[in-house]
Amino acid sequence: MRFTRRFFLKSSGIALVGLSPVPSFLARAAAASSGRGKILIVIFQRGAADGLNIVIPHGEKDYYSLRPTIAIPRPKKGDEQAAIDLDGHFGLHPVLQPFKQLYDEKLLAVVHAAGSPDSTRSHFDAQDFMESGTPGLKSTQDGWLNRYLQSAPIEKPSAFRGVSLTSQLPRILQGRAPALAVPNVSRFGIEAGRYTDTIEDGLASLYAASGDNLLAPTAKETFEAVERLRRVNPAQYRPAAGVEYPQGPFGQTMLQVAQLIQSNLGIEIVFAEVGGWDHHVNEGGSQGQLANLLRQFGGGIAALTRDLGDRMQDVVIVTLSEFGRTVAENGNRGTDHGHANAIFVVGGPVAGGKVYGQWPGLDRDQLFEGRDLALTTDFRDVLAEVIVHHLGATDLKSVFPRYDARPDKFRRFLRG
Amino acid sequence: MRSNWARSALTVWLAGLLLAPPSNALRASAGRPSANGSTIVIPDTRLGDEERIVHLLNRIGYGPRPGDVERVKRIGIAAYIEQQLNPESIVDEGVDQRLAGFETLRMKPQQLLAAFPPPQLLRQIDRRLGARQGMDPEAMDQAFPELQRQRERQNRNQAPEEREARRRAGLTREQRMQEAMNGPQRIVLELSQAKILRAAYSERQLQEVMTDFWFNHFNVFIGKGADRWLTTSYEQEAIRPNALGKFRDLLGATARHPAMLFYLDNWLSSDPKADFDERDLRRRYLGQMQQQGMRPGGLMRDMLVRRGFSQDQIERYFERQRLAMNDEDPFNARGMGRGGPQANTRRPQQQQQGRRRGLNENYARELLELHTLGVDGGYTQQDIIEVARCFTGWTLTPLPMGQQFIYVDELHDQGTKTVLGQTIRNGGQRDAERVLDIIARHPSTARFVSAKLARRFVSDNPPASLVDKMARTFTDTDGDIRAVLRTMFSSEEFWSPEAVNAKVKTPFEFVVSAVRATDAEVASLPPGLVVAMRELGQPLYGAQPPTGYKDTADAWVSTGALLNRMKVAMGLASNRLPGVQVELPRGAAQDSSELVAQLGQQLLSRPLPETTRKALEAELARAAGEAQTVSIEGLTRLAMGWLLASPDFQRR
Repeated sequence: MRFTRRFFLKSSGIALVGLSPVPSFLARAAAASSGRGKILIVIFQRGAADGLNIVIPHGEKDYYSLRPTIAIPRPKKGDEQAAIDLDGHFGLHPVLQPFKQLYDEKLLAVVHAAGSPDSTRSHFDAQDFMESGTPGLKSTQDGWLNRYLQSAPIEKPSAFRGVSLTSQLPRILQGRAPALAVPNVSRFGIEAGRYTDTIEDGLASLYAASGDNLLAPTAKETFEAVERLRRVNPAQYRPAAGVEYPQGPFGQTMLQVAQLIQSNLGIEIVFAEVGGWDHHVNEGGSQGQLANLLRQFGGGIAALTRDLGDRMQDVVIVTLSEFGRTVAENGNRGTDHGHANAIFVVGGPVAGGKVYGQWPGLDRDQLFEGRDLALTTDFRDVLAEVIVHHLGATDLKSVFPRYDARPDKFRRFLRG
Repeated sequence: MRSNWARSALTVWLAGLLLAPPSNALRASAGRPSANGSTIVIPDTRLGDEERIVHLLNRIGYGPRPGDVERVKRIGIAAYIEQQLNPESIVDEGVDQRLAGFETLRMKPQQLLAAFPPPQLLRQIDRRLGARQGMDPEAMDQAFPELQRQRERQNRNQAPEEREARRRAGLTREQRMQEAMNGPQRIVLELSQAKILRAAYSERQLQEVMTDFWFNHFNVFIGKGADRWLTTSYEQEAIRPNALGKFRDLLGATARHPAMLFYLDNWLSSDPKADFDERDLRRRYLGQMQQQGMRPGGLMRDMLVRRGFSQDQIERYFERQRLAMNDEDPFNARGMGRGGPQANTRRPQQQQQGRRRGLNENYARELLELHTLGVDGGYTQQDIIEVARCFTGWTLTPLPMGQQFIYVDELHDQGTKTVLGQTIRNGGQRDAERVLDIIARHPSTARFVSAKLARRFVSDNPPASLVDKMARTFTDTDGDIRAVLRTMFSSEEFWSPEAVNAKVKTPFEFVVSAVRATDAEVASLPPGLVVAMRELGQPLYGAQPPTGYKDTADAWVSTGALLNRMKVAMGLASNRLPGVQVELPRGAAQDSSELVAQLGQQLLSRPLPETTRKALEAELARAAGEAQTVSIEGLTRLAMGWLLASPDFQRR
């Protein structure tokens, strides 16, 4: 028998009919491979987004006195430059109108004054800590999303169980569990024009014949993934009627997330990122640099949410950024590296329409080190709630080692 | 085929058994006793002569190039190893020529900073020279086009990604490359490309392997702030010269190199009780620099000279500076900050916050955990604190003064410290040297370093017997790296048949060994292989965590990663990687089985395993049948790509 790529495909289907009672791991695998499994999408805002100009504490006098040129005006009917009020104390940046609709539909929640407890103001260290999930500990080898995958093994996981829409596998997904970096869904494969099949078949057969017990199984998984992706041809995907993704790289990334999810590839974890938040100079207020980037960000996430429609019942999106920015603006109409930040949580399982967390205040003596928004929610408590109550994880200790993540610390932004 | 091969291997083995053990013959040919009197002794294991040589070339270097096996055969295995252990005895003109055009490799960090200034130095120049000092803005923009670009970007007020994408879309590939070569990106590019060229073409293969090994062991990340300007010097001055020397020298060189002081934050660490005034500290820097023969302000001066300002203009600038700042010296900006190039636009008052507010344990922890004793090496959290206290005062001059190593006693913890049970009475700068003495000679270090070497050279789980032997040599020779390697190269474990092909190549080893096996010609630009290394998940000098890259198979064998290796293999064989040319071997084969046999021998330096050979022949025949127009050259390149992508080539 010739061991070709096609052979692998035929032999790798899971027979599920007639299995009863179904062991839980199999049920889980079935759910995953049928495309109806739970999904977590993590979106990293690299460069430290200014949470105070994204979810604006317009009820704070100090916010306005400390940001004379970049503060977003208090909410006012008919004023498109003003903050969009959420609850009388917080408001959204005016370009985040699409988020306001999700908020009103209870699909979007905010956890404010959240982030990493480590006091570093280095992008490098802080991103590293947020991805390793072990603030202060640099020698952690793997990322917390990968440790989640390790902690919840499933029988015959899809090669797409953990996917990152980046060219390299990011730290957050690195580790023992298989995970896939797909920089572009329509360019995943050997890409040799009309020779593609010939080359891939040849390689599949070489690996199968080798009997290399480490490399051969990995090659098999690889070609399965390539073939599956090619078969579902996500590039031909058309978004739902009326949904428009913003132009620009982030909007396109969100579109690819939808393509992957709707292709029913057995995806459970998706990672995507958007850079450019490090606004030390000319950050802008209602308009300007932050506003432009935020328009892409909010528009992209909202489009994805609309596009997935009912599928959002099984999806939670969490946004992260390594730290917040100084409460006071600096001498260049920008902000410097700060501490706590705002996290968005979006999805069907979210008890949205609320700003969660404990607001620490902006009085000088309430600030962290006299200058930054203090932290009242550890980012791991937010993530732990999602992976426990949404993904059904049971082994929090291995996902967040050296951390006491307990349900009683959860902010309870998920339903049920 | 297989039986022939097996028979010939058996013959060699029998010959070895019946005649004198080959090791004796080889020892005799090594001839040259080493410094400590020991010689390489190749033990008799069940490996054939040629197998041994290929195994050696796969471990002591980045795999065989055509002709290497014969060359080692001529020289003798032991003599070849001894040569490699003494790289200064090897002429390496070919590589010198290839690197001749890489200007940044020969520049000191201060020169690099002046030639490719980071944004905050530019802003400083702009502030000081431009608006405030009445310099003609047009002249400024002409001298510093980067400033103009910065301003334009800010004014256009678009999302950064969008505007960058739009701007770049308007540029041709050559223009983009040109732009990269005019900015700090050039430093990274040249350093990365040089690493590939050295690994591929240097005759000093072991030196390159060891430089890579130690760089990774004492990792710094070139993407972290000032390290972009410091890493070139780190590799050239701290790592390479000590790669085969004494461990203590290597450790000391890394500890005081600015790249490490910056990367692991020791430059920010100070005695929490220290009572100092930032202004006094700056005066102290100036005094120290003068004492050490450094030129304060030299960096600004160099920058201006490079951008075509006349001596006259420059003198006027410095004169104005002196007048303008009675109590503020012109070099008051802090360093690059922990947050990278964009991190520092704070007002002076804020600048003084956030820096040096006490002990930073970062370096101390990694020094014990990753550089010396190992995580289970028998130290406590208190030891980390004590080590950090010893290292207070080891810092850097501020950015405009070039971020050079400087010891500042005012920042140093003057108390008595206890490290691993040993008392260190305050000796200022010497405290840290005492720490390095203690840990370099600690038995845990001997074991930890030996095990890591054995993992690189022998197998992912090296036999304890081997690590013991190496650790003993380490201790007996006061950490003589050459001697430890000699012990390893003389061990049965190294030459055991189980060790052959036991290692999966890292992406770097894969790429370089492919260049060597195919005898490819790598141009200095465009840097196709540097880009390939990114796609393979091992960007050169791009390991963020202090652990560096892993050296075991589990880190590198995953679906996406394997696919990328296959793509690079096919790209290389079909000459699709920019800047890399592969000529097909001469003496074309008559049929596909001859072709497969020839290519297999060339690329793997051994007969192909039967299964691979058969599969390859069948696939080749099928490809020829499917595409009737395909040329012999096309088929040859296809077979070459398949072989480079094959599981056999992923191992060494």
